[in-house]
Amino acid sequence: MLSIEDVTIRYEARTVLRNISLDVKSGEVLALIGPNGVGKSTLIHACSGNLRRIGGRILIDGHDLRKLPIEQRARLIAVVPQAVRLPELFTVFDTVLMGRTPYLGWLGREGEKDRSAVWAALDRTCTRELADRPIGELSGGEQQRVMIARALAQSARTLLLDEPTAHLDLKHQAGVLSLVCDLAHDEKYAILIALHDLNLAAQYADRVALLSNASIVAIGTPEEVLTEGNLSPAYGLRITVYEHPAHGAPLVHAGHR
Amino acid sequence: MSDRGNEGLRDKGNEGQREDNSPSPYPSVSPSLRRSLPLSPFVWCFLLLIAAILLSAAIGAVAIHPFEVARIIASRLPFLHITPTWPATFETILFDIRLPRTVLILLAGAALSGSGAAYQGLFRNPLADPYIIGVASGAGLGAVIAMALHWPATILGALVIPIAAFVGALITVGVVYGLARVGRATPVFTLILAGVAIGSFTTAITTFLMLSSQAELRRAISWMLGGFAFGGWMPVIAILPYIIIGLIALALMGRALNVLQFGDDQAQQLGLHVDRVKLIVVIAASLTTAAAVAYAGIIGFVGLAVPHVVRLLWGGDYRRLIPLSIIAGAALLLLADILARTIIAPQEVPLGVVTAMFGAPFFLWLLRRTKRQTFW
Repeated sequence: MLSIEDVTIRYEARTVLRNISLDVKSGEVLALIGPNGVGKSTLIHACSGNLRRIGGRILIDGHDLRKLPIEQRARLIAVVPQAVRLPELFTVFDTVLMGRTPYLGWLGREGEKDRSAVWAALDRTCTRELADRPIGELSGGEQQRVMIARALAQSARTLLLDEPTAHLDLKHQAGVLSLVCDLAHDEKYAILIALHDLNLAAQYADRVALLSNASIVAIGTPEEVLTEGNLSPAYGLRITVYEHPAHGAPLVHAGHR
Repeated sequence: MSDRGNEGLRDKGNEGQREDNSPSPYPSVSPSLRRSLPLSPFVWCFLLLIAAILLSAAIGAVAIHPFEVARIIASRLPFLHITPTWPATFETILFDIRLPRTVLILLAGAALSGSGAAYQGLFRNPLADPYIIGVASGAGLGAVIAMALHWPATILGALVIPIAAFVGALITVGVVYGLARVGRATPVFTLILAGVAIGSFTTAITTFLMLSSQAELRRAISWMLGGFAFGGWMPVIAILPYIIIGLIALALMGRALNVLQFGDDQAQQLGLHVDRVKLIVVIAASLTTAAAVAYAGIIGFVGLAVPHVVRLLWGGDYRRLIPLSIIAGAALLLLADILARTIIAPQEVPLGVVTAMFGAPFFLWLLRRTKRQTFW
């Protein structure tokens, strides 16, 4: 359970995010959307505890993020970064094993419990048969699933995903986001995901938060937020929103033909 | 909603399941550590080291056969009773002259290679060597200042040069680290830049001092290239604690360095104390390198090349790379020293010259043989 309370983030003279308040509950997927550079990644960064000077508070399961020691933080909240520029020669197994870092301590060697957590994470992301392979050899979708497996190995119940589908093709986009939904709905993870593709947000998210001009301008279900009235001013273009003929979710189209 | 697109992926995961759906047994060894070599890499490196030690102690004006060297050393062990079949002078030569030098070189090789491997991990840079943040230039400046000041022979005597080198190295690294800090973090980017800048600065002063004092110039150059002006066990005893403590600390940082390969941000998100790790690595590597440089001079190439050789053979997992680099580095520097003493015998080529001259072609040959040249 993630609580962002009145957070303001400044970078040099510029205010990147102003008075952001947001809750992500267990069992839900909340998608953060907005134009490039609006601060989606910055907010994700802040929630993982990597930014030091921020106004406001961020609470994980009731604990103030800044007051938690770093290993504790990593046991409560896990970040799935974009799978880019990864060191190529580590095997999938070793990479996912690094998710156990918060449990190993300075001189710790991994034990049975850690290995079980790794195999379980590999099973959950359907990457078990890739365990021996160097991650440099995998496809983008497979690498992204390995990053998710690593976050699962941390045994943290809150996940942050920073544009996981940015470099993936359709099949892998669907695969990754289905997995994310299952983790939330079946296993009650609290998931905050930054997405640039509005239609993916419409399809997979339970709630959507639209960021524009350093604030949240709309938050609610995809139907409530993904409207022409909200999106056109935020993106600065003429946007048309249709209703998907099969399941009624919003279908967003930029410009007009 | 969640079933869309998932069917294809779900099927793959079921292959490992048994009929009764019990989980398949988990392998107990990490897959990447299971390698198809006949012997553990540690065995190979240790054998090489022992051979190098025996060979190094065997060669000299008086040739002592390596097996005899082994027996003479063994005879000093309390529980083995070996009757001496060799002249007493052999024991003096071995224990007072040759073994101290062998151990000194061994320690220097271990220190430089271990530090080089650790820095390559810390900076995520294949060109990192133990001198990257100013140890060499600082040591050089310290030594040259001591020589230029004609330190009174009564105070500390000839010891002043190694001590000045050691102190100079540590002060320089301290300045570099201090300059590189940004708030509470020390980005590797600023560390490298500060190291380069301070390194250039100190080298400039060193060169100036060397040139303005012609008499000391030759002595300074001779020290820098690897002059072992001191005999006996005293240098070994002086540097042993720093090198042992430093190398143990570095070897324990293997797991942390692995995690660091994913970048500072990800490492922090995984629960690693990134700044603590960097501080420990910089302190440990600087101590070991400064100690090695104090008596061995500035021997190049070893710290850069040995970790790469180990990486090419046995992979880039730092839990293994650092210990193996330490052992292999000790062995390889000993072999370089053997070359230094024998190619233009009875004269000696400075060790720093040998490592560069022979190390570089060997390293290039090894690179050509390997098809995969990805660094990490």
